[in-house]
Amino acid sequence: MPSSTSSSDAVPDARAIPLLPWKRVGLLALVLALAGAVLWEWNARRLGYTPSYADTAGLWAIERRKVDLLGDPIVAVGASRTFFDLDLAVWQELTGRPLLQLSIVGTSPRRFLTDLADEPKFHGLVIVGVEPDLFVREGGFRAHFLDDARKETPSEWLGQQLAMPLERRLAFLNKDDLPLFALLRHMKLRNRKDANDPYLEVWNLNNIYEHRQSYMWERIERDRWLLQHATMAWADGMDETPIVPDSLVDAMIKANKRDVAKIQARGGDVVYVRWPSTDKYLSFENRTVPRERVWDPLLRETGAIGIHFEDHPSLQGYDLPEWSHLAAAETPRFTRALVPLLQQALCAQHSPWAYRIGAPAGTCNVPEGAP
Amino acid sequence: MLFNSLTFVVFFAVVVLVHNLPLPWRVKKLNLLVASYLFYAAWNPPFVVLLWISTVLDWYVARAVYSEQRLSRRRLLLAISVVGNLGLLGFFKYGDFLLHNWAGLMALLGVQYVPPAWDIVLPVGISFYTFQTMAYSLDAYLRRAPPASSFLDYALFVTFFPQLVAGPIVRPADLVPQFAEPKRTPANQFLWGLGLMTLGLFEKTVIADGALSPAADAVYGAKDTPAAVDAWLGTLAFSGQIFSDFAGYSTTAIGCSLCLGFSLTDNFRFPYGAIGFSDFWRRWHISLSTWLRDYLYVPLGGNRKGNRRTYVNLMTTMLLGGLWHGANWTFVVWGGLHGLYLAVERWLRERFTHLKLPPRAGFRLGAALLTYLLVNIAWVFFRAEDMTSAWRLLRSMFGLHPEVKAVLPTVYIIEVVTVIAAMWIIHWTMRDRRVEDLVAKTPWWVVGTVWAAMVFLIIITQDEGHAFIYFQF
Repeated sequence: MPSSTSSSDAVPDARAIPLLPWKRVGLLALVLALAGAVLWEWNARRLGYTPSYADTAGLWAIERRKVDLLGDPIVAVGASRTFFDLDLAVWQELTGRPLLQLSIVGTSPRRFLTDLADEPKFHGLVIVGVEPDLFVREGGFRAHFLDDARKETPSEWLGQQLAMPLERRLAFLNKDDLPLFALLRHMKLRNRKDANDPYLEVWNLNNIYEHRQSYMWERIERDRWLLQHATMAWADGMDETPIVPDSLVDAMIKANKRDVAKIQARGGDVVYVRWPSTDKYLSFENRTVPRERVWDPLLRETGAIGIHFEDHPSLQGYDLPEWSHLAAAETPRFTRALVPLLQQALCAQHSPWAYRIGAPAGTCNVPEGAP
Repeated sequence: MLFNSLTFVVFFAVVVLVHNLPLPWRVKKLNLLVASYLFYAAWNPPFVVLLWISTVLDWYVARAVYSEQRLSRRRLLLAISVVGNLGLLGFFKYGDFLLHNWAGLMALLGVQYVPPAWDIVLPVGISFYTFQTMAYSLDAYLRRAPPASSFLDYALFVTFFPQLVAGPIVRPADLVPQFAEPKRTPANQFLWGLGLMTLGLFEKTVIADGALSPAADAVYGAKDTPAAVDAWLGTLAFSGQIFSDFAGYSTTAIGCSLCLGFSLTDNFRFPYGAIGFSDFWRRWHISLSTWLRDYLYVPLGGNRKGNRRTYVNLMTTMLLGGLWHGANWTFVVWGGLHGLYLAVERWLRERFTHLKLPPRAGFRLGAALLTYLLVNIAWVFFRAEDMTSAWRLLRSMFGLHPEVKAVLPTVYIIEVVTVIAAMWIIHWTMRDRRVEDLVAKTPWWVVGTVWAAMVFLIIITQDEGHAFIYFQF
């Protein structure tokens, strides 16, 4: 401990300012920094990036707040397939009602379904995307979005509002591929055994627009090298993944049963949707999370409606460039095929939600306004 | 509100604009005060009340204690300030820690006690502003400085937004007089202030969050025990991260204050170039170490009550300094280790006064590297979640853990080695110099280019707005 009885080192009344022509220094710095930013933006567009909202907790919170305002909204929760494979404009055109997109990439929707179930005022319709390997587990890449949204500070809210106009205009603000250290970590280097390889992490797959509408990134669909990387990222660890243990399945079914019952008791409803997957991803899912061990018992125990792509020819045969998500042009087409199936399934269950999502009048045996 | 956020950019632009309007000085100070409360409320509006409590308490205590002649009454008034401020701190920061340790102690005695859930949010900056207001009352008690004559000046001293939430912990005598007279900010000072803000944000966003925190987090968050190489690199990464994060905040705060016409004290002076621990603590978190020296170590007797008492005072100060950082035994151990280092250094200096460190660069460099190595061993406790994790990592660092796994990918290793080596070289070469001196000797176009490069790198790093590490204290 420095031995002194005096107070801290005295602060000079004015700190020393280095003697330089600061106006010239400042002007040079401004010009060079702006030039750098312009070049960086030009390069991002040259590489095929286009402006997109960043997938942040703040952006998610904007949509989540709409749930509280509406009371009986239609909400989608799920992971990336639910995020990319639903066209919000087509949905609104066919059903007459907006769809709130609360899906989050790489994240199990279970916590978010529970959040809606525990919200006393919520009595809407929930479209739950079942991406099997994520659905049987809890947590995930961005599970913290729910807590972040609840604890959002005024400063964070304002920061989100300020960021969005910039994100609408600047392609280089892509957060998956273009940050400096993401670029460095996209280098292919040899790693020690057991060490994580950031090269195998998922790179940019999608763009995000108003109301969190997401489509697959156009460049991924035509760039062979990026596609190869995407499939390599999916395939990493697939062969070593064991079949899902019964304990996880049981816990998942128990939680879903509770959540569905709570929502239905208030006049809401839940529909599960299994989005398409192909090739090695489909084989992996069929092996590790087989339908008869997970999907079938889920519907049986919850009593909820389920739409599985394998059960409907109109949900098959789409282009999934990297085995897991619809190509951008396929999303509207898929949504047009999905909505009538949802209407029919809700009809068959005598749910008034069939009419509320645009089923033609008189097609179901349920009066339109029935609770 | 974080410095590294768009919200702060807009906030600061508005504050600077308003501050430079042709308004009376008193109005300008009021504007700064309101801005400071807004700055704090942007986190959590209700917690502004705690700031007011601390402000008002010490305003009245300091005035009373300064004019009071009776010792018993003066002591009582001081106790009100100390108990009030430490009570606030204790409730919000240490309540859960105390409860759980009490439960642990009861369990040792065979008494079953289940503490109630203590789910209380820690108000940002409480450790800083309570120490700052306590210093105000203590200076009045010790008659080192008279209380401010203006409540506005005093309130602004407490809440001045550049240093409110993570320091530097400013002494009343250093800041309050600056508010007395109107300040104009010449263009040179404003631009230099902006330059310092850029440097601070560069340290935080590019170095701390971008380059180093992923490696530190990967090692300290690993489920399996990291291999020795990983354990060392993760700890070195943390040493760089915590320096760049905290010094980045302080540098930004200093720059921000300069832009508004005020001067704050240095808080860091290239600490990793320190030779020995007395030197380290003259360079690391200077405002805290001097606060602890002046308000704890010296009142306890300092080095004036004999050898044994000096070591006790030293250890007490460092243990409490560790605890200040957080409600966890790991922080106490971190403080205790530094106390031990200082004590051993003092003992060696006393025993071997005739042996001075040879002035040759090689010996000094070796001593500095040894100091840095020991600092890193202490950082293990600072960063680890708990004592078990800390011991596990330390054992791995010295090859004593039987089952270890590689954790860090090659790219992280390259980043950490490059950045830490560069950082250490900078600290070593700059240990006797100031940034201002270096910049003054550099051609203006080089300074402009480096400034542009920092701005560009900040923009393209795209920090996700991570909070500063010291916000949790």
